[in-house]
Amino acid sequence: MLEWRWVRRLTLRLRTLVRRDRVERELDEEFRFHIEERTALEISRGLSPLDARRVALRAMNGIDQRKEECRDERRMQVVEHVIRDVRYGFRSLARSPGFAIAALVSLALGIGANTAIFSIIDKLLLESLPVERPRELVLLNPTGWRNGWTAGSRTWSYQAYRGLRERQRVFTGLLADRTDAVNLTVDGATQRAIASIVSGNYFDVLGVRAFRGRVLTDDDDRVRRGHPVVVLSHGFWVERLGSRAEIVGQTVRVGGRPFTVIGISEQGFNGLEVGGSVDVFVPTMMLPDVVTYGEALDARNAYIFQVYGRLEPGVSRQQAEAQLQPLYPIELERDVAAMGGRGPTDDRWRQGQIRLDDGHRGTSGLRRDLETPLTALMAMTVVLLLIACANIAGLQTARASARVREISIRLAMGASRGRVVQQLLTESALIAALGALAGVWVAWFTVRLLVAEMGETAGRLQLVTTFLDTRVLVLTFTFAVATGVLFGLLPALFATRPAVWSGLKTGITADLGGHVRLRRLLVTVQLALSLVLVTASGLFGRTLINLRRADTGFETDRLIQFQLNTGAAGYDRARSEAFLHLILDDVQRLPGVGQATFAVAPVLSNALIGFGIDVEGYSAPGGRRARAVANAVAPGYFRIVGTPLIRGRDFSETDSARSRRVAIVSDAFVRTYLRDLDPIGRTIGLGYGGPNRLYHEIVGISKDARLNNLRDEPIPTFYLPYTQFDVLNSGFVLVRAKGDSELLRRPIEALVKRRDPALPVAEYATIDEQINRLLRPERLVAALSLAFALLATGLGAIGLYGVLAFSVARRTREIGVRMALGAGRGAVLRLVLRSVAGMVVVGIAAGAVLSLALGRSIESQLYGVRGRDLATLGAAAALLIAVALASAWLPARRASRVDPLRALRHE
Amino acid sequence: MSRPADLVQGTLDLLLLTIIALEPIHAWAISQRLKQVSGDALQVSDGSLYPALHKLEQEGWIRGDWKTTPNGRRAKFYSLTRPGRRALEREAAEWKRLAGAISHVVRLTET
Repeated sequence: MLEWRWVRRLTLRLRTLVRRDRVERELDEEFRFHIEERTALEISRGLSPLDARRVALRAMNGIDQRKEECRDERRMQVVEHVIRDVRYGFRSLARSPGFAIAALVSLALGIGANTAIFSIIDKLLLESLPVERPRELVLLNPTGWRNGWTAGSRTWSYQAYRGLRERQRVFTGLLADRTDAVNLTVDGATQRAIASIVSGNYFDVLGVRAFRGRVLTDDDDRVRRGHPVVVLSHGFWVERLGSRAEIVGQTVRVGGRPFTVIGISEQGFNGLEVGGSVDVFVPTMMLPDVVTYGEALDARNAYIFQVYGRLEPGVSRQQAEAQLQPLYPIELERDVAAMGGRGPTDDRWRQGQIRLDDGHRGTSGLRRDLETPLTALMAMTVVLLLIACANIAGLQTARASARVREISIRLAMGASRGRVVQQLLTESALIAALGALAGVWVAWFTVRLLVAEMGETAGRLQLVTTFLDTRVLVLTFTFAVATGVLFGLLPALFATRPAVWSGLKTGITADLGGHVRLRRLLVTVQLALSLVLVTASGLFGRTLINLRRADTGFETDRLIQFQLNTGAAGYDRARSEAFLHLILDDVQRLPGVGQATFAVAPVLSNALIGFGIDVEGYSAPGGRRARAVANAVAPGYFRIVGTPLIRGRDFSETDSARSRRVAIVSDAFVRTYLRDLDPIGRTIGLGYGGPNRLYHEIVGISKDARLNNLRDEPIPTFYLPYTQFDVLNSGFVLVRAKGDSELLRRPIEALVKRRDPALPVAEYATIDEQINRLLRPERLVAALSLAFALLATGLGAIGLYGVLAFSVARRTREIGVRMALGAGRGAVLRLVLRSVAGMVVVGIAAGAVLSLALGRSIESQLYGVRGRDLATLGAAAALLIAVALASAWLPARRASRVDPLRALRHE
Repeated sequence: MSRPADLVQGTLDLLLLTIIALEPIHAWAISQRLKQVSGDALQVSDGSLYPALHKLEQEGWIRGDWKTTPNGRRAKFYSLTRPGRRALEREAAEWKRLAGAISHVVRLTET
């Protein structure tokens, strides 16, 4: 009964939407016409108009009641039909479970994969930040000259931010935000946490409210080091603090200094980095207390803050950009003035401009990394869905043709064509709905898998909890039903075509040639699309293998690195150096450790520092400076890491802050800048001219190493002794283990904790782990594309098998005749295989053309293999041919075993 | 449902289909023709006609089209569809079979 009421309400609603007005109007008009005619009749019989009308109305026996009866009749019919069709649909699906399962699985996989990838794309690439009116947000992007400490390209110094904020008139608010890792101590336990160091108006400009307590305001950001207050993010509060309500008002320590927690920010808000996860929000004025570069608040050349503005309503981005432009030169003049005599020598810096970038999606490193892979995957899932649809269409066609007899009987019995089509469509819709449900499950599962695979880089993407949002769900269901209806409609219309069933009536076997042709076409398309997916998967797989085999230029085996963030623990330079030495000594004394060394930038983390330098003996074209990346390392680094020196000497303990400045350069550095010269003894100049320029003498040449990532060719690199490097607030200890590197983690953490309990070991990883982390996008793409390719091939094989089995069954008599006339088994086998060959040749050829055409577009994602790699394409084609032959084998064998006598007698 | 009590289930449908089969016709004219041909033997109230017509339309056996009557009024003209014609043949045959059987039985009791 429940089901009935539900269906009734649903159809009622549908009718209300679609036709109700018209039906009602017509009903009114029909009744009015009747009353008027009857009245006229009664008047002509001699009644007064008033009496005539009364008689006419009485004859209707209650107009409204009659109307309701009419409505009921209509409703009942629709409802009864739907119920009957659904019941019938279930029964007939249960009668052919093979078809039902194949169709359901095809749809579920096609829809599931699409929903999963789309959910992630939606979250990462399309969705706006969870703030008020995100479309009004812009990110201020300075173009042109800068010199100093630049954390990313779209960054500003705090002083420039203040200047802009005071003078601008186009934003309702302008906020500054810098995200960095800090040490956060809650209840005596210290952990690494992500802090957003934000201007006081941050929450106000974004329109983000407090979940508990209150958020920061401008009044919390006025006096330098005068506002020890923090807001915790909802995610941090739930995940790390177990949703303790009493935390608001309590004291925590950030960078060693006590802060009062004034509130928890709104649920779902994780800062302006999508895929990142801010744990704690700190006022900018407190910067010196939580990080080591407190002076950056005054330094005009510390470009470390992102600046977001909220446009005044009605002001376009272009207008705002134009109005903002005159303010930029003021800030630039001040930057250059602050450099004294060390500023740029030419005028090019005056060409700098402010661009306003779309800010509604925030920024995202994860997005940058995954945008192309995800787009490629989305394309693959769409192809997969097409293949699944082709499968459904093929299955439906097969089913419809197998049911021609049943359908024609129903038509002959007086069922209207519309009713039969409606019945067949109900079945399709039923499959679609069930497929969509299964698809949602597949999607949920896949997203969980993907997010787990993306690991901590995904941060608090929280896809699992939010991906079932209504939009994605509605999209999935719409698509599923559209697929089901579309691919159910065509075969249904075909099967009910008068020619088909009237043929049956006269006893002539219906011509099903059209069906077979359609199904052969579908199988051919499937083969072509499968080849595209298999080829792509092969290319991605080879890319992964090539990257894994790439020569890093150092020995990755049993190498461990971990970070000690001494600056965040409040250490000054001298204490940092002393502490690092202590730890190095301690670590080297651990059993199982070979040797240990130290570097400022970690390896294989895209973390080397970029410099503009002057190289003695090299003049760059156009007066530009040479570019190189650098690391600052301890003596023994090259030996321990395994990057041998080609010439010259290693750093030693005697290379100190007071001794002659030295450097070691890489082979690529020499090849690029000092090709025909003797590098040893030449100098590299760092910094911008004047007395502050630092000259380092080249004392050695190292082999090339891929220190940033595996993909890039070795770039010009130079190394400085860490003692001569200007900042030292954190460093990475590199340890070469003797045996199992896993066993070292606990002892190392224990010994660091013994030296300073407030200084946690961060980013502990073996280099193999680091490589895995680095190759995560590639692995994701390779694994998923392989899964998609396998699914596609499987679906194609099912389709091919289906069409062949059907056509062999249909041609049993023909085959019997042939055999009776002397055709051998071999000839029959050839007959069947020839029809397979047609589909395979056309499908593979079309797929090859398609693969070659699309190869170019994924080239940027590949490594060590070209987009149009014929070997991969050939292997993929061979695989598909093998699969096609395998799935053709059973039907072909059945055909060759046809007993001519029985086949002929059968007719 | 206010179906006339003395009409056998389905009989009204058969009558309506038969009348509509002759030519496209609107509901008012159907009610008049019903009275005319059955000589008031069948009492079908004006109102009870409509639910039956709408049921037949919903079933797909008849369809309604808005046309102009000879004296210039707009009215909904019902006509038979192909499934409707088949249904009519079926119901008529069924009716004849039933009527034959009943009159046979009745004749038996008379003799």
